[in-house]
Amino acid sequence: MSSFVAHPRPAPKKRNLAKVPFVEVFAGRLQGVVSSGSSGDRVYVSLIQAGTGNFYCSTNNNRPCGGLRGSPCKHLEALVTNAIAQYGAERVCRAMGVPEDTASAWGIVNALGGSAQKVEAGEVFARFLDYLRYVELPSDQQARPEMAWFVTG
Amino acid sequence: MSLAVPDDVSAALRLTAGFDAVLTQGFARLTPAQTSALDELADAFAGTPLHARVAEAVRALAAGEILAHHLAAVAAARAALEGARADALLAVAAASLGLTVAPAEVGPAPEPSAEATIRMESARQWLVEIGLAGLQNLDDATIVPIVATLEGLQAMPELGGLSAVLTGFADELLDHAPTSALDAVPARRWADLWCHALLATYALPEVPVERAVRGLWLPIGADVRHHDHLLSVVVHGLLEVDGDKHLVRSGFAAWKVDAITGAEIWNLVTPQAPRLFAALADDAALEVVGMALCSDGMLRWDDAACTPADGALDLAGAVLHAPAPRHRHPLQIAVPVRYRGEAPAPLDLSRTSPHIGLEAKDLDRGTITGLLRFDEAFSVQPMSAVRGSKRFGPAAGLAAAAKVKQPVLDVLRERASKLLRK
Repeated sequence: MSSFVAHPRPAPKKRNLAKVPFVEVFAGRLQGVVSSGSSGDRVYVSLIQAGTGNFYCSTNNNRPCGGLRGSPCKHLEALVTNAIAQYGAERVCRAMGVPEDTASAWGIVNALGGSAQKVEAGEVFARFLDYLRYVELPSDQQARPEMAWFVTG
Repeated sequence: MSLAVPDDVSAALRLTAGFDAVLTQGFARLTPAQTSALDELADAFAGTPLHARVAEAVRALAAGEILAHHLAAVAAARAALEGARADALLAVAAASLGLTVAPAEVGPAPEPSAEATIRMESARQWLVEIGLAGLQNLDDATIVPIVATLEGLQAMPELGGLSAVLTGFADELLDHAPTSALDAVPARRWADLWCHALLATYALPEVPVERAVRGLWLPIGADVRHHDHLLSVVVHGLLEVDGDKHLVRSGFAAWKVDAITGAEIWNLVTPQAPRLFAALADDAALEVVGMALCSDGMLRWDDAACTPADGALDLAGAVLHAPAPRHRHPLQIAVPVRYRGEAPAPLDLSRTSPHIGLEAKDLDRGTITGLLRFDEAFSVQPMSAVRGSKRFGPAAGLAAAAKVKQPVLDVLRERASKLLRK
């Protein structure tokens, strides 16, 4: 491992940004924001834990998703599907701790086999706001030689 | 002249690798073999001003006294070694391509503000924890604390360089946690990032000397770099001034999110210099008046200070500016080349951004423009290609970027507004 070039990552595939405006793998959790299928004004916060597979889905004011009755809802499916598009199946499966041959949304969810466990939507929402913070930071006319190390993401 | 790697350059890699093995295991549990690898690194500096400090730091580390300044001393030794390798490699590259190397003259670094100092100390503390634990023993609990520090760093333009490298390093570690599950950690790469960041927490970079210039500027190509949160586009050009030709670079950086991909990335930087990017797309010359040329080859671009001009690119005999001291590293070797037929070194797309849409099949004929790079061997990182009337690379990307109908940021902001509603 004597190269200073990063291991190449596949370029992200097109994802449905309006459906899943935010998705990330952070600190052992795949989480994000999913638009409601029925109302343009409603968005859900969905997440699934690596390892245990425990999941949750609720509105931003913590009302549980109606589709959640003990099993994962379609928002979770959209979340995982779009995570695979953005990050690639290899990366998502590695982060979730499942074999790569399970690489479909239901494949990953079923391989993990967790149950619904409440998590405050605010935790994920705060991460989305942190994500959006980056696009408000000012750009500048600097060469940033440090960036010579990076060509993924 | 050939692009042979000098023997000393290859031999010095063994010392760097010794350090990297120690950092991989962690400074918290040095074995006698690791201590002797560090001793060997220190001995390489015998007779230099750095020797006493590095030797003292190695003694302290071996005795379990793991303080930030001891880690910084060994990191400085590794950086000095890489700097010496970079100098030798740059000389080889310049001789082979018929270029003249000019050293970078720098003035003193400014003192960081009180607030910047606090942020730098916070970043340093995290890097010390990483060094103690070892690159192969990192989990979310060790890595996540940097997230709050990053927000503070990113808000301070004077810490732009440290923010850029630390944000990318943190992204990469988070992506690979727990690192104990990896077959092998990318030791060389992560040790580079760790050393660079650690040293950057001690002082702001020295400032290259600059002068106002007037001359003919010709675009060469664009080097597009990015991690999940930052885009950096460095436009390479040739500046003819007072009868001399200088290889110059102009930089444009923008923070971003990973949903922005493909050609759309150009829209993050083109508003900073519309004329420059138009000239790059059209391969057109510009007359520049009063822009600042820095001794490290940076041309501080001022889009209002250029007008259309005529000229043809000829790189032979140009002045190649050596990097500023902080960036003396083999990674930073990026010498523009343009050729038809036989490449000066093997083509390597591993450092070409996936977002610029340049593929191997675009490069089998025609005129190729690239950067001569080094990663234990010389290679060419392609930036663009021209075949007949077809142009691959930024010209195509910039045209596509102008046609983006629904910008990613618009979608994100609209969706976020729904979340913010009660």
